[in-house]
Amino acid sequence: MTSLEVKLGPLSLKNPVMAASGTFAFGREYSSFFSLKLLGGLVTKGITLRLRPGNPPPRIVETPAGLLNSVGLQNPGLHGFLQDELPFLQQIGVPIIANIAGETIEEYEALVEGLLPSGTLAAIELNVSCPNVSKGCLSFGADPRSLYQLVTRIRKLCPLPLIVKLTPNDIDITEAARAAEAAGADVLSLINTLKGMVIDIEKKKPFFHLKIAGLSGPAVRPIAVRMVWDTFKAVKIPLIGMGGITNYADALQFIMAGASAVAVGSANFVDPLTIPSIVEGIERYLKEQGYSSPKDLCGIAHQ
Amino acid sequence: MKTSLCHNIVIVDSKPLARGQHFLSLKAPELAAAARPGQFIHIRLPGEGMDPFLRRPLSIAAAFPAQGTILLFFRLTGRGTAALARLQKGQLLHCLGPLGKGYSWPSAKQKPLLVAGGIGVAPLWFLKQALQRKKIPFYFFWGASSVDHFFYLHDFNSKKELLVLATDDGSVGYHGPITKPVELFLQNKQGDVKIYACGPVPMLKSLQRIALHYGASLEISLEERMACGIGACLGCAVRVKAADDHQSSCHYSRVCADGPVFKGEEVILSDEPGS
Ligand SMILES: Cc1cc2nc3c(=O)[nH]c(=O)nc-3n(C[C@H](O)[C@H](O)[C@H](O)COP(=O)(O)OP(=O)(O)OC[C@H]3O[C@@H](n4cnc5c(N)ncnc54)[C@H](O)[C@@H]3O)c2cc1C
Ligand SMILES: Cc1cc2nc3c(=O)[nH]c(=O)nc-3n(C[C@H](O)[C@H](O)[C@H](O)COP(=O)(O)O)c2cc1C
Ligand code: FES
Repeated sequence: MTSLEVKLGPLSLKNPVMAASGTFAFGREYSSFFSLKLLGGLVTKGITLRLRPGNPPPRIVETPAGLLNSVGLQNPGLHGFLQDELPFLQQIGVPIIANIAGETIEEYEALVEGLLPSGTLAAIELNVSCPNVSKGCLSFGADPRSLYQLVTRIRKLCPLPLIVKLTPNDIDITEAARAAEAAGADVLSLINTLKGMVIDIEKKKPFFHLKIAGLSGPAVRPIAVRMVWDTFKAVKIPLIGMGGITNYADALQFIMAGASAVAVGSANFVDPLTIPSIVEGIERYLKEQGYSSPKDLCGIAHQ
Repeated sequence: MKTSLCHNIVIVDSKPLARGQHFLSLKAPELAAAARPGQFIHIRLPGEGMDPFLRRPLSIAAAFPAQGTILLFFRLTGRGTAALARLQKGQLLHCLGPLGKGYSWPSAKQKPLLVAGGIGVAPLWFLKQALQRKKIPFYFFWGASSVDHFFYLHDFNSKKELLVLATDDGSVGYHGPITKPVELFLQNKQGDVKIYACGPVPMLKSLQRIALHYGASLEISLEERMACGIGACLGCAVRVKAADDHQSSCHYSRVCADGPVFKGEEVILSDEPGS
């Protein structure tokens, strides 16, 4: 019997394929393409304490096999999320993971405190890795000591499974992973976007107002797989792998490198049906190869 | 599984239109039936690879529900549009659509005035087709850099429909921006006018000013770089006025899902062209 169910510490998923933060909004848009019940989990767009308008356009540029984005965490804020987005998410019937971002530890704390009473979130994902805002966020993720401090404080008040989303930028990712684990994170997700840049040669200026933006898509996949590989060796807690996954074979690379589950981001933009087709593909692969669970493949490439 | 926004479409005809512009006719019965003027489709470029990665948004330039076809008019801009122009009859494309909010219909009192800048004519062509079908007279103003950028000028009924051209080089029509003849026209015009426009940002900005000055209502169709095309990534932002005044801060709408058609007074266009 093949079962797609996976356990990431205290978090159970019906299948190992989630929608990555910021690429799936709060689910509504994709519900006109497929039944969201097919998701292993849905990670929300990054939520901040107060509404954030986001960065001025342009926010997107295509790059070789990928894209740079400078969305800048546009989101309705904690209150807007609870009021306008959570009711829709709750009725889907899959684990909903709130991705949160703050400028200070106190902001992260206030977010967790504000989210807990809803009682319906499956987990909290600490975004300490957004390259597209000027304050906070990445500055926690890129410094092991700040990260340890932040995760320790959040751990104290968060009874929900706690995921820490690591950055591939400005730090040895295994160091950040160890710090988050030591501070009590249940799960790590990696990678967020890589810092990148495009110069507009007509204007002789950076293409984006904030100059640096976040790279995602197939272009980053080999880097992401390598980081999952290294992090798997560095920590004991389960990993959610992402970065350039477009089909089941890409997803399997992450799983074999050590991820217990995966998330799909930019590929949703190209084919909105990517996630259900990856779920199908993984199931088919497991059956064909005679495995009973994705767990049997987790980290198998290390053996 | 609901997949009514996903379509495999077949190329029925492909040909150059006018200078640097291309025409595709596509067999897409569901799209042809569902599409409204101002809406667009988001096209997966042909080929197996992941590069170019993103889809390309193009306006629906006409729809023929009886034949089950739609038309696209596009300017050869870069890799994606070049690949689309190389497609042969019979080849297959995947697209999402119809996407976005289209133009709203003029009220019985309003006389439609369409203003196209260059290839911005594409969504307005569909509106023109819809007006012609309903036998609603309209004014059509079309500006381009020179005479060889226009196409299908015979497609207007000269008795009922006023067509005004302008070119940057004076090779045909008014010598200068199309907004000038629009303004002259409104100066001498009585009654309600509803302006529908698509084109470069400076043209749209002039029209915002002109519409305000002459009390005409205005709908503009915008372009911004898109990833998802369906409202999920927040990549295609356009600055809009906040709904409630106390919230004086910046506020962005999504061109793909809240637009691409917006009320003229609603958006704050930046001086730098977004894309
Ligand atoms: C809603 C909408 C409707 C459109 N309708 C039409 C139409 O009917 N006819 C037409 O000629 N053009 C239209 N455009 C513009 C068209 O999408 C671009 O010209 C096209 O994507 C360029 O792709 P490329 O690969 O040839 O150019 P490249 O410059 O190589 O493209 C690189 C990237 O930039 C994006 N890009 C480049 N220029 C634009 C632009 N002006 N707007 C948005 N994205 C851009 C591309 O989509 C791609 O992601 C429309 C744009 C939008 C947003
Ligand atoms: C447009 C866009 C917005 C994103 N927003 C967020 C966000 O709000 N929070 C977050 O943790 N990650 C965000 N990400 C990062 C993705 O969740 C993911 O980590 C990254 O894109 C790599 O995966 P991919 O290559 O499959 O897209 C965003 C990515 C994109 C492309
Ligand atoms: S292109 Fe993704 S929100 Fe508009």
